[in-house]
Amino acid sequence: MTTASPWNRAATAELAAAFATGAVVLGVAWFGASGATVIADQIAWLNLGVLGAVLPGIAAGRWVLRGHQAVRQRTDDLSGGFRTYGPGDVLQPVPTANGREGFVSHPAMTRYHRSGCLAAAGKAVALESRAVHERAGRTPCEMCRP
Amino acid sequence: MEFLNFARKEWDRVAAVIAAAAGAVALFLGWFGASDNVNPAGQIPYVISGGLAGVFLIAVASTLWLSADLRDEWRKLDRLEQRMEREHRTPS
Repeated sequence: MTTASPWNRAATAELAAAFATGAVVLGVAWFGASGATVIADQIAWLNLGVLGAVLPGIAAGRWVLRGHQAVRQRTDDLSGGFRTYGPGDVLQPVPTANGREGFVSHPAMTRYHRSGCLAAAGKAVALESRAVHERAGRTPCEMCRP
Repeated sequence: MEFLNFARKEWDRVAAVIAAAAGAVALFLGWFGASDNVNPAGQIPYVISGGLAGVFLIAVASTLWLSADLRDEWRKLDRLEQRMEREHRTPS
């Protein structure tokens, strides 16, 4: 099951709390520093102000990282069922009756595939040569690239 | 009207641009206030209200913009998943 966005409610609440805290801390630091007349006292308020700016920065970093991880995880989950074969990942050729390399398809299909291609898995396909498929107007599958 | 539709659809990017602009203004005002003040004790409040608040607003803007990009990716994956489900049901 997928959610409407890469983040759950807890992550959103964490980010909102960190930004709200940061804003309050900055306000308090500014108020404290403007009321102090001695530099040493102001430095303490300045340090608090730096904390108020760093805290939301850390929360923002965690938020973006979580979102990125969720997107990558979902991409990996999807690509498990929709795989593009690379040059070093060629499916074994299957010969037709006349000895030519055969590819599978079905009269209702618009593409032809290598035997074993996931896009043809579970479908009632027949083995024919490339020429037969091309005469029938079928194009090569973009996944297994026959 | 067109801008309102755009702003409703891309609220996070619009908010990011507004926050970045506010951050830039805060940084400028912080610098302007501090540079006009010879007393270091008078400069520190400007560093906090201008400098740190400016950095804070720019962090808000960056987060909103990156979130918008990740939401776009998420929606793209939604479309891809729906398409895969459709293709799986029909012969290709």
